[in-house]
Amino acid sequence: MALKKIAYVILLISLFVFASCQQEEPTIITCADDEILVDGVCEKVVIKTDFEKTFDAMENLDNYTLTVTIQQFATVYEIEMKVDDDKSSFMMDDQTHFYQKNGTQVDHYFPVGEGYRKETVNQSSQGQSFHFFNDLEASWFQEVSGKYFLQADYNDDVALFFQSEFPGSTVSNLELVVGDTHFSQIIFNVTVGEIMYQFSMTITAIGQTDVVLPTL
Amino acid sequence: MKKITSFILLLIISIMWVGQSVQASMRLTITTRETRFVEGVRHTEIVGQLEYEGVTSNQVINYIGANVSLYDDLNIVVGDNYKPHDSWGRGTILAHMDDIHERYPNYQVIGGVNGDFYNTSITNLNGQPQGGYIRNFEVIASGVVSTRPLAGFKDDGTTVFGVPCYSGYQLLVYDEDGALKKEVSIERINNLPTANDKVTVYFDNYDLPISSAHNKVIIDAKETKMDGVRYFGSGAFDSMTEVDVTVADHTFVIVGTDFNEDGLITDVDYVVVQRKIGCGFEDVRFAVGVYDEIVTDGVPVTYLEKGLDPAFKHPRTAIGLKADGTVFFVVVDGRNKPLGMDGVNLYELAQIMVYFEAVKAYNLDGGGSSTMALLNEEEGYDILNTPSDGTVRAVTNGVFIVKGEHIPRPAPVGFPDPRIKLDRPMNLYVDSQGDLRFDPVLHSLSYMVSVNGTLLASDDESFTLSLEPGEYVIKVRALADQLNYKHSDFSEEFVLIIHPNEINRFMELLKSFLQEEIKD
Repeated sequence: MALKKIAYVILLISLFVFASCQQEEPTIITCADDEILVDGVCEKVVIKTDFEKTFDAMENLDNYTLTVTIQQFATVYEIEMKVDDDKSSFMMDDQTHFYQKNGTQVDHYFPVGEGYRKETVNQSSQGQSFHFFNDLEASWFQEVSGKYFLQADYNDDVALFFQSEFPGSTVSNLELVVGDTHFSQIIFNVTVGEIMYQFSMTITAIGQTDVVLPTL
Repeated sequence: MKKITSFILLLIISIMWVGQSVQASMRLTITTRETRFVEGVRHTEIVGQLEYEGVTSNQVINYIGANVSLYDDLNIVVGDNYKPHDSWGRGTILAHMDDIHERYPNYQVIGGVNGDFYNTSITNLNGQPQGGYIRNFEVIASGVVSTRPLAGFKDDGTTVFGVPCYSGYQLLVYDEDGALKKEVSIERINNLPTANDKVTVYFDNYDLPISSAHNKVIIDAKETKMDGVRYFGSGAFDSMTEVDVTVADHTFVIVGTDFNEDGLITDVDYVVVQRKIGCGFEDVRFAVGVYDEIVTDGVPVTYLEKGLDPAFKHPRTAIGLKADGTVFFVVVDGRNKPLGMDGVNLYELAQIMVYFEAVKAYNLDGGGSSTMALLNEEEGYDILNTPSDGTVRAVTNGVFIVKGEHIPRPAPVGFPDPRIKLDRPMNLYVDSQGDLRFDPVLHSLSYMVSVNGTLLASDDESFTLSLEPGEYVIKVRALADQLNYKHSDFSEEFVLIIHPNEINRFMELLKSFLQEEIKD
């Protein structure tokens, strides 16, 4: 009789254990149409246009060639700037200066006679309030007939770039030309006092720019 | 006692009589007299009546003068508009001033007058001065009339008057610094040398080939002057040959056995062929031909056997020297009686020069040539007198008072030159402050910086450039003591483009941006 009781208790415990191990039915999560399930959570889907994607592509750009022309009346000044990771170059009037990052400082290679000399300088502390094409935002632009123009409300943001040297200068008529993946050209006017300078910045050779430092 | 009193009285009367005899010969009654000073040069204009030997005339007299022996930065120079080759040529004294400014940036003409008499024939000799003419130590003209005196001006401020003497031709070879390397005697012109140690020169008026086995050094002439009797030539080395040559236009050829085998004339040297001048004119930097001596030891001439219409009234120009070293010019207007400009004869001119305290004076070309000009407040020039032609006449040359010191003439260095030439400055660049920098040169005392050809002095290897926007070609040479070491050659040229200030600031912004773009 005692064995029978023990058998009932064991059976009861076993039933209890089996019952507790049984899986729950899975919960089905349904996201809204403009959402996507990420890690069991519905998140809003941001669908970017090709134009907006170029702004993302410009971030952390570390290899490119930037050709800048500044036109004042009939006179055009041309500058070619190259960035190749930790090296860069600045060429104007057939003279090229080179820069290489050296810790918190920069090695500046400048032309002397037929060759070059190097000086180590503190990295520029100009600290422009506006880091130019890195700081442009897609929402600032308005498309007109396939062209992208900076809305007038944001001219002052871009003008910040020039304030350290030209306080009170203004920027106007900024047009952004985009290529397949990146910006290809930025055109704008800078007015200093009563003189207007027409700027054109053309970005090329992205990922293909090679800066070779001169031998000393 | 009575005798003594009578003697003293007689002496006083005789002294008064002698004094009156000098003074009484001319009386100048002044209507107006105005004097002013322009950059240290005195200008006086007198309008009045001149009475000389019983004849009264109306006169307008202009005087300019300066003490060039006292002030180093006031000097006398000559100017002309001679063509480099083939003929002489004339110009107004205003054009002569332009010529001076072009030749010598260190001088600013303050004022001056017309110079020598000249050839007026319608030939290539038009404009040839009748007397000698020395321009910056070069005897350009040696005088059609050998007895014509010169007024010469030395670097120490002394003025030399007199008839120069000439003794054959000389070849002067100067190095690139203008230091005399060697003087070679020229045996004759347009003829072969008569001996192995002789040297001759052929000018381009010699049409035949020079047929000989001599060495022939061809000089690319900067300037040639010749009239078939007298010659002058200057220029630079072109080539050397032993073969027969014909003298090309605007060249001259130095001929001699083995001449220049020693490398005497190199392609950086400058050579001059000229008549060797003497009799006090050896160290004269500038000289102009004058004519009659009208004041001697402070005494005006009262009779002249020669001279151009000495007894007739004309417009006249004269140059005078005072006892204190002041050189002055006088122009008396003439041929214009309605305006009170009767003109003077040479004796009256002499009296006027004494009136202005001349101890020595000579007349220059006069008549329609008489012209005097002076710097005005607008940095232009006023013609002070009334030229009788009604316009300023083109004349052979002029003589001028200038402000500015002479560039010292380097001491002769001899040949072969025993000095060691300094190394050229290297590694020119302009630093971020806009200063020109270069590597120092051993044994240099200072440096000469050439900016688009304008020469500037620098004490050391850093030179502050203050340049307007533009493109500049810059080169530098190291300067030596010229005794043991000689100046270096110029460095390689360095092209510097100066942009407007705003563009420079844009560049700095972009450079700053660029530095921030490079990553670790």
